[in-house]
Amino acid sequence: MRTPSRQAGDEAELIDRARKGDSEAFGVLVERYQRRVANVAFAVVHNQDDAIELAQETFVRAYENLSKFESRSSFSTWLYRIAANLAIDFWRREGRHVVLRGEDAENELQRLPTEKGDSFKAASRKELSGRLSQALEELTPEHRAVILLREVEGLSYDEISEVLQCPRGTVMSRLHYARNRMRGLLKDLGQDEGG
Amino acid sequence: MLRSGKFPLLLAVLCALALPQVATAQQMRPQIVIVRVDSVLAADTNQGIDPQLGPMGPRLHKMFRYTTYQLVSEQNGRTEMGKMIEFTMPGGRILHIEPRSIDGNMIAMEVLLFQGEKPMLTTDLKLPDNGNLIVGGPHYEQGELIITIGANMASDVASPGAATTSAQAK
Amino acid sequence: MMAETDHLSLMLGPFEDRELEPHEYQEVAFHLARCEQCTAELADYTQIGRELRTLNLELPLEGFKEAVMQRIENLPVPFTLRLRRMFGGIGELFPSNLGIAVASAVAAAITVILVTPYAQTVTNRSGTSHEIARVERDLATAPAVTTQNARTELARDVAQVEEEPQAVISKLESDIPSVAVWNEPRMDTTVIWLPDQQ
Repeated sequence: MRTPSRQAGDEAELIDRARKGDSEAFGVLVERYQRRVANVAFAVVHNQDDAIELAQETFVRAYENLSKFESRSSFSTWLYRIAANLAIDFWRREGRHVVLRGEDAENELQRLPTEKGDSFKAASRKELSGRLSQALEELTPEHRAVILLREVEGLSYDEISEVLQCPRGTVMSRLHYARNRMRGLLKDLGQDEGG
Repeated sequence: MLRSGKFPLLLAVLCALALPQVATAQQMRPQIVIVRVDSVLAADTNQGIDPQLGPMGPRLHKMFRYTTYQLVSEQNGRTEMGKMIEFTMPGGRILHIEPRSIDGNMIAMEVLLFQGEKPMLTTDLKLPDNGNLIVGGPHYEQGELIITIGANMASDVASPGAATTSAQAK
Repeated sequence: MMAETDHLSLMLGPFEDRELEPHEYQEVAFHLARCEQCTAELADYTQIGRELRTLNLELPLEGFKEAVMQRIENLPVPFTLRLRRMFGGIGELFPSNLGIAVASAVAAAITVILVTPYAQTVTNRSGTSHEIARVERDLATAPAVTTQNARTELARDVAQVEEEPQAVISKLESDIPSVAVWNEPRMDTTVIWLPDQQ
């Protein structure tokens, strides 16, 4: 059975082999972390295609910089840090807020899970999800990153601090701000739609 | 043991193979330039200096003497020498910055500011590493727009977090 | 009371996330029992978290690993790795101590080839000393510099340094006729002002 400590040992061996040029070993690491890395990128840029592209770039950068990885932090945290930095840089460089509208919004909402049976509940969920997406767009990438890394990826404050390279206190204050802002935005959006 | 005749030949061949690779490896790493662009609304509406501006706020106040300075947007980007990077500015304006070369501790670059399709400003300049250029004056909301542009050379090309510019580089 | 509520409001998130110090949990729990506002706020945070987790999209990652490996395949092979592979191949043919000797000889040869142009410059030092002697002779025959001249020269140099622009503008084109350009040396800044034509 693969215990966490055993997996860590396997991982150290894979990293070591990858450092020596064994791309197959690196491929195993890609498979293991691709989903979480893509989710971290998506947490910031909130665009599916961009998130996948950034996640691929994350692994390429990680491969190029394997010699710089020090085992004092976990490999996954190191990967998330690269992904978060790339995503934040990308979002800033684009200089725009990507707000889902029209067909893009419709496509995104259709992918979301809906409750079967009760059409009224389904409609409410769809509305709420739309409002959540819109509220997330209103946050800066740093605030969006902390709230999604915490709520969706389940990272601890210390892990988030390491990924985003900021003090734990900053993580706490950004999270507080993001939650409050989301709360306010959701209330405003609900009032706008409800009339 | 090797016959002595073949050993010098092997050595010469190895040297000949190794040397070009050193030059090639050095050429393949382009110089990365980090560009910072901040947009500030400056107006005479007595709202004071936005704390988000940090130390830049009082400096702007000393230079321009408006009564309101408000940070509108803050953008960072990385690009390579010879590749243009684009920033969207408030008021429907677009900023293009293309670093061209390094001259001592100065970064030579071209800066274009567009209002729609039309360039309001085209300038070739050399900016000191970590120096600042301000382009100001275009009307925005109840005041004027001040764009601060800063550039510095990245020290580590391969550091994690260096975003690609393939989406914007032209 | 307001200050206490603000302070505890900051602790609600960490309370929910189990990131508080042990003694702080009791403080927050005790406050929540008395404060409807904070209880409602905490409930909203919990709801937001729950909804965000259901919002999580399943990103389509088919072919992701293959795409990454293809990009890695296309990366240039680092010089050090290429060298290692080259000498690794040679090491299979010969005893390892001979491989080390070969590597050392190659490194020495590369160093000599790279340093040789500079070595030649050093051996030409006698030319430099002739140049120094000529400059010293010229200085001895130059007219004496008075104190007044020196002060004027210095003042001019200082003024030049203060006027030295932070940026050097070689080209500036604009349709706006009243473009202004000036330096703020104390702010390490150059300004280009483009007033809108109203």
